[in-house]
Amino acid sequence: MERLLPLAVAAACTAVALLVPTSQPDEQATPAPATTTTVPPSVAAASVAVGTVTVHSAGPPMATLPGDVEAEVRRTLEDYLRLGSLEAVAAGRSGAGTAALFTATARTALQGAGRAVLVDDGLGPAHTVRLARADTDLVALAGPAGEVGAVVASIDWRVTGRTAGGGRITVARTGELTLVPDGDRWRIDAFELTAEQDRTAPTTTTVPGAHGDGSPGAGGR
Amino acid sequence: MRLRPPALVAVGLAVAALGGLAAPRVATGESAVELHRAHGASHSWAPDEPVFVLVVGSDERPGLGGARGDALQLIGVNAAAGQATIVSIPRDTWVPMPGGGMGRVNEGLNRGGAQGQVQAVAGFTGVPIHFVAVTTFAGLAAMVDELGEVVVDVPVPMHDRASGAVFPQGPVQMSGAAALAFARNRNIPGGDFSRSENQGRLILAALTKLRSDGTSAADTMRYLSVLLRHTRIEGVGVTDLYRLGRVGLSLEPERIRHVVMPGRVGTAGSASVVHPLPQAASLFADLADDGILQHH
Repeated sequence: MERLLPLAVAAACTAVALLVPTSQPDEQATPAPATTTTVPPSVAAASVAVGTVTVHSAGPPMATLPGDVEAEVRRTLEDYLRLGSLEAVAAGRSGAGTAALFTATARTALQGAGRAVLVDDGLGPAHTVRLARADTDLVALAGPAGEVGAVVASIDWRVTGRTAGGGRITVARTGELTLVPDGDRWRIDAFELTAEQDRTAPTTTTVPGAHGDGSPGAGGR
Repeated sequence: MRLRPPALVAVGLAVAALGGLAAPRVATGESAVELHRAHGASHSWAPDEPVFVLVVGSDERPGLGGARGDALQLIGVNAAAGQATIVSIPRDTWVPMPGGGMGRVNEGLNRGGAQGQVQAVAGFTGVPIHFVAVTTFAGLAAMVDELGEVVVDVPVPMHDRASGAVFPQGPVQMSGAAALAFARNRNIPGGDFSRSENQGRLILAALTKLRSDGTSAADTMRYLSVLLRHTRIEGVGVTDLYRLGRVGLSLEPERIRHVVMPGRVGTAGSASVVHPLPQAASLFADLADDGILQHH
């Protein structure tokens, strides 16, 4: 009995350790709640940080995009970031209206094989969603009369979330989105992206029972 | 003539490289980690119909009245299949002219501008041309100089004072002026037929050079801005041109067929002309259905 006691204590400590979530670098270390409660999600505002803007012009040199074009491009990017990632992580599914941000061309990909890289379905829900990085550079093509026909956004975006169980979600999305004027707004027409979706959750390790199977936890009898 | 968005809709994933989606579940002892890594791309539309482009090298220059289509390259692109065809048309090809009568095909430009040239070519080939790109001697040279020298595999030694084409046989790195001379030289075996073939060869050399320089979206935009500065393009807007540029850069030169229209040198009155051979009609019919030559 005395020889078995240290083993039992060690096993108990190990079990407790397994039940404590790992520390979160971007969150305060708090114990996981014993029961799941519904927490209104806190979702960061979708605001992209536009850095370099380059315009390849067939007409007079253009130092930057016309203000209305940049505003429309930014609007589409931010709607996409909000619906496809931030709200998707918060709710577990991308927001309604995501498809409307894509041209018919790209919508085919969104509804098919490209969905995994375009939106963050199936990771959440998460109660705290943050936008850790939203770096965005723009390159555009303008015709002889200065009409902008296409804009490529090089993105480096990172979204994090905290789940109710104390777990973490991290999404890093990098690559290019091509936007074109399409009807009443600018839409995403093409993409070349890499998405790394990382979900970390505490394990629900079961402490071995008292009538166990010979494992340390069962040895105290 | 304009590319209609609905017609372009369709659009598949000409380059859809989806892969790497993995969901390993790794027990670390303290936590469970799910890591998904996905890479995907869809950056080329693939029109549900082939796209036909007429590339015209105009001899328009200061001091010369009017302008003729000195170089005529009919390009069919089947984006869905990742294939294309270049048919070089000798400039002296004797064809029915828009508005009546017969004439050399290159007179279409002089009679009706870019659209006149399109009508002259479309009329005798039966190929529906979606848009036309017209450049000049100076424009061609400037484009090559801005985009960088091209390496052209010169098929025969050239020593032509008229065009300035003086090249050994084999790969030659060409500036804009040299590329222009190469494209204009017809004092070679085969005359205008060989010259037309060399013009197509130059297009393929340029594509190879651009693909080696970079095929990103930003690269595409840079190339197109240079093209648009030195080329008059009718029938397509900047957006569709960009999309087509992406398709063009995705094409491997090895998957582009290049042929010269079958013809024979003859006369029309006192003029020296090229008469299309009977097989030219079947070649253009073969091209028109999907932009690919299956039977030629």
